[in-house]
Amino acid sequence: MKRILALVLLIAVLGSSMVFASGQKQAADGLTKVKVAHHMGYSGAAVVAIGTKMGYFQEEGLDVELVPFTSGPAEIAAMVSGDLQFGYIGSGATTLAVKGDVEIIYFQNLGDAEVIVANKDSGIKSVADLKGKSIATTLGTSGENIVNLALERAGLNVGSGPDSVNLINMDMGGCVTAMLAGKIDAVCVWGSYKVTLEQQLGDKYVALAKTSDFADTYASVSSWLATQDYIDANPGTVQAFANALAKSMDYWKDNEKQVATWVAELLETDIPTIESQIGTVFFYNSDELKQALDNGTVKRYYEVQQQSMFDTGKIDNMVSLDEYVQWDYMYNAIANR
Amino acid sequence: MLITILLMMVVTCITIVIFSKKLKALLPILYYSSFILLLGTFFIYFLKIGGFPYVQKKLIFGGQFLFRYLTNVPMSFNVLGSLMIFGRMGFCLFFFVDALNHNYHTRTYLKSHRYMYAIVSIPLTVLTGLVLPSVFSQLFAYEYASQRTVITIVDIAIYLHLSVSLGLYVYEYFDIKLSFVKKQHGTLTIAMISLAIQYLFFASFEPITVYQNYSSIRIGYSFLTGSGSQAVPYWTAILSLCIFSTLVTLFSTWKYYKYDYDREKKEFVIKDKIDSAGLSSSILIHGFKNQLLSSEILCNRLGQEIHQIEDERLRSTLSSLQEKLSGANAFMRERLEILYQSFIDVNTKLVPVVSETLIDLISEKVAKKTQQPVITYTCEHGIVIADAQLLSEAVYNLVANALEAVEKVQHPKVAVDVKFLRARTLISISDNGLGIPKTVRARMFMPFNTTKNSLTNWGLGLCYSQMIVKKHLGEIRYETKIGEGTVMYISLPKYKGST
Repeated sequence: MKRILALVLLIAVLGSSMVFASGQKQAADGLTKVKVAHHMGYSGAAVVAIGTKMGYFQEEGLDVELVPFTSGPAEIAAMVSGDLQFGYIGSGATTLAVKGDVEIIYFQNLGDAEVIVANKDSGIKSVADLKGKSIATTLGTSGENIVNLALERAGLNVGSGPDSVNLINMDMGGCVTAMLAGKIDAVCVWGSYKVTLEQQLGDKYVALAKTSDFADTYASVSSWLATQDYIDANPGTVQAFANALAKSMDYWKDNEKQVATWVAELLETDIPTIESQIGTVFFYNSDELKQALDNGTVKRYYEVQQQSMFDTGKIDNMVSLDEYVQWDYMYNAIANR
Repeated sequence: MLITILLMMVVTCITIVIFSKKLKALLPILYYSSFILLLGTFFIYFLKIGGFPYVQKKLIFGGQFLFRYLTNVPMSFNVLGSLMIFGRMGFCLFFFVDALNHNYHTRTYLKSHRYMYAIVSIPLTVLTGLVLPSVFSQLFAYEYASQRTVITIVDIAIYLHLSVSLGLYVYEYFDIKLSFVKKQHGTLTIAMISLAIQYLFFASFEPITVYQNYSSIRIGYSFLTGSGSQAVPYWTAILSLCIFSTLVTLFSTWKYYKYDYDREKKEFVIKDKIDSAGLSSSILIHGFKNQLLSSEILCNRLGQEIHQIEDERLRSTLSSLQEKLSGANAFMRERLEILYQSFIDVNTKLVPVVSETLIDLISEKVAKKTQQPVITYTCEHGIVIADAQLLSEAVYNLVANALEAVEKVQHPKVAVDVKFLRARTLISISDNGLGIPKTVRARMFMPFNTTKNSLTNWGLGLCYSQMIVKKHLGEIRYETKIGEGTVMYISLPKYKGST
C-alpha cells in the first residue's frame, strides 16, 4: 500500500510540474502564440483556413492554434475565462458583445445561412403551422434570432402551451439527426447542417423561413472578437491579427472555390458541401470595407442588428456602437494593406 | 484517452457486481454509475460544442468514428445538462452515504437511527433539484448574481461532502486495530481517494454552462483547455494521471471485493468438504465399528484361551501377540473416536463467560497435554459469549500447532491473548516459529490435510477449530511470515456488556 501511495504521489508531482511548466505565451521562434476560435462552416472557417494556408498569420508574427466551436456563446465563455484570444461569432452571440462581455475588432460578413426546415411528410408548410409543435435550434445563436423573428411575424410565441411553439435548445448535429429521425417538427440550422438536410431529405425538404426573409429588420452580421482585457494588454497582437484578417478577406474575395476546398480540408468534410455555401455569405475586401466604413454601411448593419436584439428582448437597452466595436483596428488593418 | 477512463470505470462497476452480490454493493454501483454518467455527458457535451484544439481533441476523445456518432446524438442541452447534474450530484451523495456506512461509529449510529439516512441526503437532493434546467431557468433566469451564489453553494456542498467522506475513510483506517481488517480497509481507502480526485477534476466543470447558452458564466473551464503549445503535454499529463488513478481505483476495488469473495468461496468449499468428509467418516466409522468389535471380541477370547496352553514358551509368545493386538484395537478405537467427535454435530450453548475463565480452561488443557513454559497468557477483563469447553478446545488445537511450529526454534515463544475491540472479541495465538508455507495455506483448514505423520494425525485439528468458531458466529484468520512466525486470530462478535 505504501508503495502504491508513493507511486501515486510521484506521478502527481510529475504531472503537476508539467502543468505548471505551461504558461509560456511566446513560441521559441519569436511568434506570439494565440488561440483562435472558428465555427464549423464555410463562413466560420474561411478566414482562418486562408490565414493558415497562405501564412498570413505567421507574416504578422502570430502562431495560431485553431479551436473549433459549434456555437458562439460557448466560445465567448472560453474567451472571457482566458482560454481563447480571438473568435468568430455569428449574429446571435453578438448579444454578449453588446452586453459588454467582448469587443468586436473586425467585421467579417453578412450572412444568409440560417433556415427553418421542416419535413414535407409532417404537413407543416409554413411557420404558422408550427403552432403547438416543437422546433429545435441552439439558443444564443443566430438560429434563435431567426426563429424568434419568424414566430413573431406569424403571430406565435415561444412557450409550452397548445397555442405556442416549444423551443428546444439543441446543438446543430443533434438537430440534423432529430430532424432526419422524425423526432422534431422543425429545426433552424445553418451552413453545412442545412446542406446535409437538403441532401438527406431530398424533395421532402421544406424551407419555412430563411435569413433573407427578414432583411428589412434584421442583419445577420458575423464578426471577430477579443476581450477588452486582452485588447488593453496586447494591442499590437490584436492589430496583427486584424491585419491578417484583412489579407485573408482580400484573398477570399478572388478565390472562393479554392477557399472552399481549404475549408473542407480543415473541417474534414466533403468539398461539395462547403462549395454549396458559396453565395450565402456577403463580405468585403479591404477596399470595399474602407468604403463601407466611410459611408456608414457597416455602422448601419450593426445598428440594425442591435435594434433587432432590443426588439426581441435580448438586450434591455440600446448602447452606442463605439462601446463594443473597435473601429480603429479595422481602419488600421485596411491602411496597412 | 477519455474513453479509456470511461471503460475502466465500467469495468470497475462490473467487478463490484461480480465479486459482491450483496446489498452493500448497491451504493458503490450507484456512485460508479453516476461517475460514468458524469464522464459520459462531459464527453458528449464537449464533442458537440467544441472548444478543444484539433490535436488535443484527438488525444482526449480518440477516433473519428466516435466523434461523428456522439456529435450527432439528438439530445437537447437541457437533457444533457440534467444528466450531467444527476451524475455530478448523484456521485457525491452515494459516495457520502457509503462512507458513512464504512465508518464504524457512523454506521453504528445510523443502524439505530435509520431516518438519518434521509436527513443527510436532503442538502444534496435539494441542491440537485435547484440546478436542474427547468427549475434553475424559472428561478434565476438572467440574474447572474443569484446564479453565482447558487453555483458557489453547490460547489461548497460538493467539496464538503467529499472531504467528510474521505475523512471518514481515513479515520476508520487509523481506528481499526485488527491488522487484516485494517489492510482490507486501506485498500478501499486508496480506491476512494483516487476516485475522488478524478471526480473533482471532471466535476469542477459547471453543468449550468451546458444548458445556459446566453451567459458567459463558466467555472473550471480554463484548466480544461490549457494554453499554447503546452496543451498537448498538459493533457497527456492530466489524462495519464487520470488513467493511472483509474487503474489504482480498479485494482484496489477489485482487491477489496475479491478478498471477501475469495474468503466466502473458500468457506463454501471447506464447508462442502467438511460435509463430504463427515458423511464419508460416518460410513467409514459404521463400516469399521463392527469389524473393530469383532476384532476386540476375538482378542479377548484369545486372551482367555491362551491361559489354557501348557507350553510356556508358546503361551508367552501368544500373550505378547495378544497384547499387541489389543493395543492396536485400542489405538484404532481412539482414532475412530477422534474422527467421530470431529464431525459430530455438537450442541453449542453460548453463555457469557469471563475472559479469565476462558484463559484458565485453555491453559489447563495445554498443561494436561504438555508442559511448555514458553506459553504466555494475557487477557483484558471482559465477557465473552461462548461455550467455554468447546471454544477452549478450538483454541487448544491452535496452541498445539503453534507449539509444534516452535519446536526447532532457539528461543520459542507462544502467546495467547484475549482483547476486546470496537465490535469484536479477538483471541490471538501467536508464535515465532517457521511460518506457514504458501502451499500449505490453501488447504490447511480442509479436513484430512496434515503436514504431520498421517499414521497418528487425521489432519482434522484446524478443521475442527474452524467448525467450533463458526458455531460461535466467528471466524479464524491468520497472518504468517516465513521464518518469522504466525498469528492465528479467532474473531468473535462482541458482547454488548463485555467491558
